[in-house]
Amino acid sequence: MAAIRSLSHLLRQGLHLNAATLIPKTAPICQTRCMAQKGMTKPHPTLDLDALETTVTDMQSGKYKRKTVRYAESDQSTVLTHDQIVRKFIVLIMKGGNKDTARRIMDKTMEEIKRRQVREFHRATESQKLQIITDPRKIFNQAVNNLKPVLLVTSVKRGGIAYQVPVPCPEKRQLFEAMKIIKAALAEKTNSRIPFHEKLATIIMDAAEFKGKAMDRKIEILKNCERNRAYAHFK
Amino acid sequence: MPRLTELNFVSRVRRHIKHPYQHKRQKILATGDDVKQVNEISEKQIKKGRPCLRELTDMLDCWKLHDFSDSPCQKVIFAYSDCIKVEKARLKEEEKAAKASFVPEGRKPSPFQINRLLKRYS
Repeated sequence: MAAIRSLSHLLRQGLHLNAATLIPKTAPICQTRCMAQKGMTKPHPTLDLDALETTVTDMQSGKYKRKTVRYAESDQSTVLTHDQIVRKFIVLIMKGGNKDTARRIMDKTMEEIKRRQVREFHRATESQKLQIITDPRKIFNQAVNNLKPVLLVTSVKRGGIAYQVPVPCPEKRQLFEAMKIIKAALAEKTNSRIPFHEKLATIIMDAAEFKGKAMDRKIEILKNCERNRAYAHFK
Repeated sequence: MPRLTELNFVSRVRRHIKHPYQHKRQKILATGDDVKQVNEISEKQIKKGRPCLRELTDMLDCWKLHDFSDSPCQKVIFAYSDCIKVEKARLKEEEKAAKASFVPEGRKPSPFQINRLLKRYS
């Protein structure tokens, strides 16, 4: 019996899947694409390689669930360098429908982060080298995780007065708020003219280390919640 | 609610009233004309309450001590987020039970269920 290779193993070796062939037949979830017009209400397909991983024996024993799914977007793929969170951020940066410029800016920032980290890596001592992360996607994910606010402030009207009430933030909203904080930190004006991608790179690298402009904005949100703690029982 | 027993004796009791002609409007015996026919009940939302206040205050105290840095306050933050998840699941269950097709035994019927029964059986 030949060695059973899973799809993810092939992908890691170098097989690419683009949007058209995104849903493999061998999947434990067994995603079947829905027709385009009907399928807009269906859920999005999963793109995690770990979730799609399976072996032939699973298919034979019937250990999978059938699920209808809409078509993937044209900028999604299961390529290993693709990240869903980075894609969401590109959409946020985009202005006037120019996704190409937004994507190029993001590519430049990733390159800038990598260059800075590699420079540090070469300067560092042997013991410090283990702690330095050179993967820019990991640094971006870490920055976004650090900037997620646990509480938010909403206005509640009681007796004609609008009070600011601290309220828990759901997970999807936390992601969006973290990216919004980065976007707001980018809009601040500086005296010297810095290229956009360098500005973004500094903000991301500082946020991954719990410092910088973006972190100050997040702390201001939490301070606002703390100031209005007396009204927490309103909602 | 219409009276289930017939009245044999009615006493006209003079009650303390403000306006001199108010006693004429008072009807002591309820007739069939006065009774409202209830076809629907107002659907009030499930009260959400004030969950996780204690965990909230613990978290805010911890932040104030440590100047809003995340690393010393990790335990308290996880406690708060766990509490919220539990409350959310509980709310979802309540809303599901309020719209169920049959009336569950241990619970009061929700206004949605009562309205459905009234439509069917009246």
